[in-house]
Amino acid sequence: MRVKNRLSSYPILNRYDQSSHDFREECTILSKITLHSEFENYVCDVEFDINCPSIEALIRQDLARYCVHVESPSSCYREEYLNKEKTFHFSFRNTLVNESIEINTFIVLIKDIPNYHLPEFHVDYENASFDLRKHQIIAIGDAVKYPCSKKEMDKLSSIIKIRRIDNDIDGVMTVNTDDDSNCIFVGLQSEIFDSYCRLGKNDYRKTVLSLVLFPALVVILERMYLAYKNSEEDTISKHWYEVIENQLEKNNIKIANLDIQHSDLLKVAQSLFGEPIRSAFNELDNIAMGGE
Amino acid sequence: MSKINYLATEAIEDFKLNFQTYKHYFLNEKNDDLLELCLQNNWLHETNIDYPRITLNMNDDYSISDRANVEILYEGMKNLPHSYATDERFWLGLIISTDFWDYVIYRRRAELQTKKDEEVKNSFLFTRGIKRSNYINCVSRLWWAGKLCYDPDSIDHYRTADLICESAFASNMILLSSSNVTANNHVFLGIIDCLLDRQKKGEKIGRYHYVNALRYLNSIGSTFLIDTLSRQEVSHIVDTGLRKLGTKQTKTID
Repeated sequence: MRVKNRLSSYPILNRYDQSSHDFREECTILSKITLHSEFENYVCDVEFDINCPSIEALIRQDLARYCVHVESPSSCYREEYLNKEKTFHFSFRNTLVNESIEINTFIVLIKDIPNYHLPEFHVDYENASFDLRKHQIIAIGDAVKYPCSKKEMDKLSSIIKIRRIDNDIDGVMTVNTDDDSNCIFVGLQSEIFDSYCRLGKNDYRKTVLSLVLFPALVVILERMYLAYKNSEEDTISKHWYEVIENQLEKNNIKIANLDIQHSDLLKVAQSLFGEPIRSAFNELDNIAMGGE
Repeated sequence: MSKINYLATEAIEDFKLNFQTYKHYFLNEKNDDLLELCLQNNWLHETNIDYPRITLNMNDDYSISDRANVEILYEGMKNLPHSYATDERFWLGLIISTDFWDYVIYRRRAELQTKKDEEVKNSFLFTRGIKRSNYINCVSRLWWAGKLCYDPDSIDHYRTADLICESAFASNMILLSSSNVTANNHVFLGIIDCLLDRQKKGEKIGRYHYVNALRYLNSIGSTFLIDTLSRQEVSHIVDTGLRKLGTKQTKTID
């Protein structure tokens, strides 16, 4: 579940939305979420920290509850955990989830509240009241996302796989981003693949990787940009797209801002891969100096 | 009882990357050649899941066979962990190494006869996102339909499958895969309760109902935590939404 920042028809205390002015500035909600593995289960510890006395009172009066929503979209697992206490924990079987676990936190009503009005509302809502119903959200806390299968899942190299191709109809090198959700296949024509395997094992590893992966990554980034621009859900929803997007965002790069007309793609591919061209030439230099 | 085999990742990668090399195997009526190839390359490995020894229905009328097979397959593999049920390696291993191959040939006969790469690939391989692929593949979608439709509160546990299978089963599954909210069993059953109720009152249920029910739930999901609704509440809300939207209109929600 992704909680999007949208205007709502009534005030919601929102951890992430600093601009909506639904509540007075001093009102805050935070939630600390930790997830760890214990044998065949995942155990989640949650601690809410809220500075809004009226909402806390609603919980004490059994009108609202702290709520944690857990979802693993690719395994169709969704569950919610409600509690009166600020701190609680729960567990679920690890066989229920796959790829990633998304955890969102809320405070939700468990009974209807006609004429909902809190003294902590922003002054704009001074005279406003709302008829709210059971299950409506009145506060949104922190959210986290955990990868949950292979340890290496976040590393770029595990989602790009270099394989032999049987023919060179499409050239000596291909980049296949369509056929698999989890990874991208870089195909090398048979003879070239043999050279890659032979040379890549020893002294020329960085050079070989740079020759193969760097151009592939430029192609991949361009396809990601176009998929984003054309709202191609099939591509955007793929796991490899998400992993690369996360890597980019960690480096403050947004796909929407990539300028494929200029040298942005080269620059981004370089930084994503730890300057492969420089590494390759350093490697060649070392080999050349060693051979003199 | 023997165990189900799964197909190695390297095999799947090879099939996808060098599809032209392997295409003729997938166009065979029988899996013997492909199975032999997989065994020679040591591409099949045992899971700890027992092979269910079920016989799938192959009626000429797909609406009959789909409905029957949702129940047959899910009953036979009800305890399958989700982590297996989402895994392409598991389903492809099952298809290649057992008589589930015959089922794919039967169910995808028209598509395979076109011999088009995409049709052949989509008959066996997972080429979309994980969830969508599971809902598209003609074998895995039976299990997932069973999981969605299973109603623990009803004597006929699969009565909701009557509705999604009676026509356009494949499209209905793709529609249902587009919304994460249906992953919650009681939310899904609440939606179907409403549609079955309308059907009993004489309404013809079609794509518009699924689309608008999901659209309406999605729209209120910004302020309601849908998962906390009871099944009856979901049914009532969907009914309200369909009344507001009209069953065959696509006007936007107020």
